Amino acid sequence: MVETYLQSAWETFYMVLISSTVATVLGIPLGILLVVTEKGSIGPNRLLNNTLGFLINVFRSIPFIILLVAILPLTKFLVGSRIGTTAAIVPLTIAAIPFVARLIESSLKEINKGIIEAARAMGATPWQIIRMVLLPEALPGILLGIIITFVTLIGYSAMAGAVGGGGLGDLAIREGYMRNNNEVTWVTVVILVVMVQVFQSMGDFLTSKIRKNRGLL
Amino acid sequence: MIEIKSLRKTYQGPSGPLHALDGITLTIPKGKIYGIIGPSGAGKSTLIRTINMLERPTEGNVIIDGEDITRYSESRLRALRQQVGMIFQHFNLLTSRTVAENIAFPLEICGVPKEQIRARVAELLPLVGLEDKADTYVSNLSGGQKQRVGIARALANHPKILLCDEATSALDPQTTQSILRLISDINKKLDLTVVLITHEMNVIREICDYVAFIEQGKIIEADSVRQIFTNPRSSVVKEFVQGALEGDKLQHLLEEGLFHQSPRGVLIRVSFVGEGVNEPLISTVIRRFDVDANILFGNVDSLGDTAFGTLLIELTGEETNIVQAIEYIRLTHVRLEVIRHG
Repeated sequence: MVETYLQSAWETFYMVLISSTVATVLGIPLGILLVVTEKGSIGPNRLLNNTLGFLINVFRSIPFIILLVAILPLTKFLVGSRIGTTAAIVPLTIAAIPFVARLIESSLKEINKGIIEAARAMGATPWQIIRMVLLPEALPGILLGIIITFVTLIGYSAMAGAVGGGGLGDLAIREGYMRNNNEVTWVTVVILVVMVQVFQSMGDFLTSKIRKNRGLL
Repeated sequence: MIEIKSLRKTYQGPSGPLHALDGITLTIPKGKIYGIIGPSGAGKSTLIRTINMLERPTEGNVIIDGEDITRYSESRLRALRQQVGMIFQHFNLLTSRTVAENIAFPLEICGVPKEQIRARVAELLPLVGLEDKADTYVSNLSGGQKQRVGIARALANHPKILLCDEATSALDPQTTQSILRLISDINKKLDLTVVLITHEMNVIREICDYVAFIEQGKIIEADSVRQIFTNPRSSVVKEFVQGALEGDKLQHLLEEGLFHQSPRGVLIRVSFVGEGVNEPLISTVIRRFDVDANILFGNVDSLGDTAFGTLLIELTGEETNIVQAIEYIRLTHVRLEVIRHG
């Protein structure tokens, strides 16, 4: 039984790690784009800003379980299979990208506009402002956003059982709920709670360390 | 030299166009400190931002050393901005960087090699008196220290022009003094043209060579500070000058009604400029018109080698004598204002 738990925990970790990593890599540029194309920012572009904002809202409003099924053809195209743990990574990633983009957007917006103006006054290019001002200044907020995404995806990954993705949530539903085995339900829930606590604490520790180092706490 | 010609900046407001700048023409001589003063919303912030084109004007030209920068492309502007330093009211330092790294920032933007950056930062730290703070994150600094970092950062690229956007408005009076002294020092040492905007006449008086008064996007008066202080033309400027010479103290005393205790007497304010300070006006008045003069407040100040003074006097005695005394004072080159009749 212990092996089953470990196997499921690993599947959850694997799905969530890969999907949140890919979502971070793709979501950060989108978040940056949302901020810099805004009116009065360093590269205003109303059409791009509105389109992007609209698409992100659309994807964020689709319930995950629907998204999971709706993109099955895409999943098949990308990873060669519709079912299994790796297949579950595709919908998880797609659900997380707009989420990451919004979190990055809000942490970038918290940067004092005066700092950006100062960089412009020094002759910085928009790309330099992104690289040397926006990202380093927002680093603690960005890290927290990534952790929030990771933790949220742990919850989403429970639904991945629907496509045979495995993981702890799937175990709880199949073994615990459907077979009425309360012990399995409780143990998986406890493992999930511990996982969430560990990752959230790691994120909190890291961000507060950076903030303290910068004299912001 | 910076020439600003018929500059206009118009925004589309909800109820029609708003003129932030309404035909500004100014000449800012090289190597001098030029102050632009006005109430908030007057357009001074927009004006200073046209000198490095952070704000593009709707009409008119900004010409720096013969080059019309309003025609510059964005990439030429970036090159220009690297040669124009700017400091800000709220400092606008990077919290993700230490003092030394903040000073290095504009050099990194220009792609200066690391070794040269290190050497330049090492030169600048003592110039602003922050040798011992090189590795401190800026959030741990006081306001005055933050502005010193701002100044060092603005000077890093050896600029010819320094723009100061309300650089002392967030600082206490003592720190303001030390920052003003620093700006004045570097102006002389580096032959830097300094353009500053402020709403404090004190700043103009302390360090500026020239001053322009701006209100609702228009220049009311622009001249050398000496000229403005000794011979203000418009009433707005007169008020500003008087305020700067008396400080807030007299206004404060008047508002508190401290001078309204004695029921008799006429309360007058006389302002001396230049030689008037040295004349025995009050004793002459007392002897010639048989009135008593009770000095309630007095202040003498100087701008360069010109002295300024203000006295608040209560005149008591026969009414006709007081009227004659006031007539007499008015005939001298001293300014007189009756604050309260008997």
